[in-house]
Parts: sequence; structure tokens; C-alpha cells
Amino acid sequence: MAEVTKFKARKIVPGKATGPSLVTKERLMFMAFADPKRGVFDSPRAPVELQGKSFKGAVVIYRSGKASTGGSRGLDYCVRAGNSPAAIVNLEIDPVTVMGCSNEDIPMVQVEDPSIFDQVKTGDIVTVDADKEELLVSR
Amino acid sequence: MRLTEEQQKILDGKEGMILREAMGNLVKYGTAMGAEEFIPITSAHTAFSAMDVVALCFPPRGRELAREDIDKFTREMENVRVKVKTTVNPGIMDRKKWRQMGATEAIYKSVMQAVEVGRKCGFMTTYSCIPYLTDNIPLIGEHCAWAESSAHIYINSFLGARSNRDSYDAALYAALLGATPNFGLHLDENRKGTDLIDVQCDIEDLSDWGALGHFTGDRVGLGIPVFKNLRRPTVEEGVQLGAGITVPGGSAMLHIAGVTPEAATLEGAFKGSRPRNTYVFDEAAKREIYQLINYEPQGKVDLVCIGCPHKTLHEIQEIARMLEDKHVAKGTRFWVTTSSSIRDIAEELGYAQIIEDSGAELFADGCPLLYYVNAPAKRPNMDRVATDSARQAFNMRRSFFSNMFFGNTERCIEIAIKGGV
Repeated sequence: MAEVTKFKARKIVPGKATGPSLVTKERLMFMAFADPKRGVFDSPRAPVELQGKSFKGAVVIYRSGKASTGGSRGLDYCVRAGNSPAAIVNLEIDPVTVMGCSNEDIPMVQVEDPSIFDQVKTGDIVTVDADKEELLVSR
Repeated sequence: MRLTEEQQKILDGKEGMILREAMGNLVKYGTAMGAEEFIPITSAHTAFSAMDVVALCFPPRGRELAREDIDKFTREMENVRVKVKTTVNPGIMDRKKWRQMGATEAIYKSVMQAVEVGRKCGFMTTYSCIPYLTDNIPLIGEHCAWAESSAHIYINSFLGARSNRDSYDAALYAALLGATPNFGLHLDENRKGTDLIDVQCDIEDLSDWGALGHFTGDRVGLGIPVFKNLRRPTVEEGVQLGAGITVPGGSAMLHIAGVTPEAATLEGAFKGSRPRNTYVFDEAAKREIYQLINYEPQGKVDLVCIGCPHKTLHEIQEIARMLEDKHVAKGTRFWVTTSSSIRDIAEELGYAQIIEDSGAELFADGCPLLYYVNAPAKRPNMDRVATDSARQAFNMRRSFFSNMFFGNTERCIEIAIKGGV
């Protein structure tokens, strides 16, 4: 049976989703870093470990949003192109990312425990349950 | 969130789809951010560059918009009015010189439609990223809902006005409602410093301020930096500091001990709490940032662009002085970007003529990043680019120009005249 690790996750935007994780310790935004049509991070400005990776249906775990206040629009473009991430998990809460998730009903939680970056590897199956305030990792 | 009777009616759709969506989305946003109520605002700053982009803030969601969707939305939008003074961030072309910068007729028509709808709805389509210096100037303590990452820092820190790091959509909804969820920087307790930046090297020209900003944003992320040992910046230096921070980071406020209005002293800036971290910005740190964003091109430079954020009238006066009786090198383009309101005065005062006589181009309403990244305008063959903006140097190098040179304004002008480094 798969090993399951549980993290306490504060609800930001309600909802529940499961998907493969995409993990970076860096801050990022979906505007300019992501190609909405292909659903991949394609910009050289995106964190190197995410480059070329698909975020469609993924639980994207990163430190926080940053930079342009067009970041919420970036998420909107991905959703409209059918390439929405399944959920967003951040350590720190950026209002621009929150607006993007809340407009698109993408579940979003805050995990304050930085060990999530060591304990969750890209590709692990993660379930985010914002209402239960938990994040489950199975591998 | 607790709503007033009037707000509840709007949420129930009694005032139409546009306001219902604006209210509903701000209630969701405010709830997520822990707000308990709305707070009235006096000013907003958002985006309104083309109706097919504004329409994305409203239903239908989850799919690409068809022409009919955009037309239907535009008709509904024409029936609503902003409740507060609202300005608009740069768009995708220069309204006067759109052909010169390579925009198509289709782009021109789309922008002019937004200008027309904006006028009916009360949006002042100023297309400026420094509205706080000309068209939309909040005073200390005013509650605002603004987008534009560099503007947040300026109005919170230097003017003492209050805006969260709102996205374009959040600011648009707030403009239509005259209110925004009350959380974050609207509240006294969230305006204290979080991290200390100890400046231990000389901060001289404009590019040094941008470099200090880049360093700070990288270290503090979403925090509120407090600067120690930093002199009072000029308006333009303050603008560059904020713009530099919001490339690697997402702060919406800073304090400079003894300078900014909510930091009479270093201790006062932290309101009794201790900094989470202290970072030292010294010569070595400055060099590191310059190496990161200073891709000095060898030989010829194709484009020199200055004006990110937009140049102030005083900067344009100085640029005109430096360009008087000089000529931009053949084969090099030199762009100075600003807002229409500033360019209009620069034209009246004769600065624009001097700049244009030198062969430089004074563009308004946008910047190369917006003209070419966000719009399908025909991009000239430009690969080696010089700028005096840390933000532009970083964003454009990592976006589409392979060689970026970052230096102070005088150096950029020298490069334009010589045609290279």
C-alpha cells in the first residue's frame, strides 16, 4: 500500500482536487512564465526545474506568487485553454494568485511547513482538501 | 463577509450582471484573504486596454471567448459607471504613433474601442504606469484598489495611501463598486516592516536604485522591507526602487527609516516587532545584481529603450537637454516611453521636438514589453538592447531579447549616440 504523508493546509480557496504534483521552492507566476495553450512552463524566466513541465491537472506547489499583477490573468488564460492546474499550494499568500484561483474556482491552500519541499517530489500524487484543511501525499 | 443591504442587492443581481460578478468575485477574494467587510475606496487603477481582455474578467469562464461574447459584454459594460476616480495602466500601442511602432490597424481599432467604452464608463484611459505622479494622486491614509506592482510600492510607501497588491481584475471590480475587501495593507497592523535591508554601499544613480530593488525583492519576497542607511531618493529613484523589487518579489510596501511617512524612525517602521531577517546590501551584493541583469552587448546596440516605469516630465526635460544637437546613431533606435499626459506637456514645452530631432522616438501609452510581448505587433529586428531600468532589463532579457545592457540614463544616451558599447 502506498505510504501517505499528511500536511496541515489552511483553506484559501475552497475545493478538493487530486493530481500529480509539480514542485519548486521558488516564487513564480503564470503570466509570462507559462504557455497557456500548451499547458507548460516554457519561459526561461520560469524556475529551471519546471521548464518544459506540464501543469495541466497538476497540484502546483511553490513558495508564492510574485511580480506582475497580471498573474491572475495568466491563470485565467490557462483555464480557458483547457489547461488548468488542479490546485495551487503556496507557503506564503499573494493576493494576485488568490484572485486568480478564486475567480476560476481552483482550490488553493497554504502549507506553512517548509519541509513540504523535501517531502514532496514532482510526480507524487497529492490530494488537496481545502475544506478539511489537509494535503495528502502518496508515493 | 458581512454585506450591507445595498451590497447584498448587488450580489443578488438587482443591478445587473456586471456588478453582480464584480461583487461576487470580490466577496470570494475577500473571504479567501480573511476580510470581514468592504471598505469604501477613493481611487482605483486597473487595466482597460482592449475589450477582449476586459471581457475575460466576466462570464462566460472556462473557455475561449467568441466574438459574440465580447460584443455582448461590451454592450452590457456600456451601461455601468465606475464609482470612483479610475485610471488605467499602459496598453499595447501608442495611440498617436501606432504605425511607427509597428502596430496593425486591427490593434489600433481594438484599443480605440476600449478608449471609447472607457469614456462612457468613466475609466480615464491614461495608459500610464506612474498615475500617482500625474492623473491619480492619493493622499496619506486614502484607501485605494490599485493594480500595477510598482505603483503599489509607490503609493503605500511614499504617499502613505493604502492599497493591497490587487490584480487587474480585483481593481476593476473595486472601481465599479467603489469599495474593496478590508484586509492586508488597509489595516494598520499589517503595514509594519518585516525585514531589514542594511545598505552599506553608495547608491548613486538610477540604475543603482533598480539594482537595490532587485536585491530586496529577491530576499524579502512578499514581505515589507525596511531600509537602513539609505538616503532620501528623488521621485524617479523611488519609482525605480519599487519597480526593481517587484520583479523577483511581490512586496507592495517598503519603509525607508527617517524618510517615508510611516517610518519616522527605524524602530517605528517595525512598530515594536523584530525583523525576521537582516540582509546587507554592499558592493559585492550590488556587483552580483549587476552581473545578473547586465548582459553587456559587444559592439552594436539595436535598441535603447528607457521609460520603465514611464519617464517623468523632469526626466524628459533632462533627456532633451542631453540630446540637444546630438544624433542617434544610424541603425540604432532610441525609444523613450512615457504616458500621453506627460508627452503632451513635453510637446508643449519643446522637449519632445528636441528628442525627436535627435532621431529618438518619444512613445506613449506603453513600453516595448507590452507592445511586443502582449500584442502581435510586428517586432523590428532588435536583439541587442540597452535600458536604464532593472525591471525592463530582467523581464526583456528573459522574455525575448538575448542581450540586455543595464546602466544609468546618461550611459544609455551615450550608447544611443554611438550606436553601441
